[in-house]
Amino acid sequence: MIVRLCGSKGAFEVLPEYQTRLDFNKLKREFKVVIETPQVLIIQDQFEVSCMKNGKLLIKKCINQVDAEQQAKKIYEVIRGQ
Amino acid sequence: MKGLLLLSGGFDSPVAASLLQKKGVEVIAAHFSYEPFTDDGPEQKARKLCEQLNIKKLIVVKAGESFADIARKCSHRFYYILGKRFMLRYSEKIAKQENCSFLITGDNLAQVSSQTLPNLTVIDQAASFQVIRPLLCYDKKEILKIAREIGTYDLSIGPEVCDCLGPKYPATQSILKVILDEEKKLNMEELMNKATSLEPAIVF
Repeated sequence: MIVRLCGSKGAFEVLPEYQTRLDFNKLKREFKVVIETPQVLIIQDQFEVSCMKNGKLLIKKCINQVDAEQQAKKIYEVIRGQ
Repeated sequence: MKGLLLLSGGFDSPVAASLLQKKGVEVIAAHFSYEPFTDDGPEQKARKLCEQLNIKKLIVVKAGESFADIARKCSHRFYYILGKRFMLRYSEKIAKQENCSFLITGDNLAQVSSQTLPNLTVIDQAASFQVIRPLLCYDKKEILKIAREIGTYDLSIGPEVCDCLGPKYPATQSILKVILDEEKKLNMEELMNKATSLEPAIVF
């Protein structure tokens, strides 16, 4: 996956390595939902994360890349059913 | 003369502001924040752009919930048009409070789907205030050149996440009647109330 610091330097944007379609139902079963729309699901885990259907994640209020990678990995693992 | 700029944080709206400032117009700004869908990066960008452009007042509108409502309830391909109509309506409310004579946007003809002539026509009809679009017929290269000259290019650079709720294939030819029918799916008063202008406004 590609992990890059956002311009604000207070969040990380994560792009999946392979084409991924996020199944929001799987995420909803596993994480606390903050807001849901058909296009974007915001969940609360270690960080608040905006999850987009195309697999892109925005991990907010996170300044450490390792933390961002761990959070993203956890979300993608739920999607892959691991 | 005072105008209210709809300041996104991208390249165009700061350039639009600068062109009008050079004509002697006093510009204040409104920024629509998409939080919690985004982080506060766009808002920070807007603050820095106001400082750079010597815009004395910035009103931040937290509108994420309102945009979510549009995305949930309406035909997705009209999302950008409906979102812009909502922003114009809300901006008009602010403009009245702030004694502004008109609204200012960085719209650039046909640059994106919401900026085709039919869509701009439909968007305009959401507000009674006149919408001034100084960049309407500019070339993008010209806009970027001016952005560099006025020192906003580096502040505006970076990915825009504000379109995360938008469709992959948005409508480019909307008809007012269809859009009005879409708006019937929304409770407009509730939509306006869900958005909140942060008080106090940021004064530089």
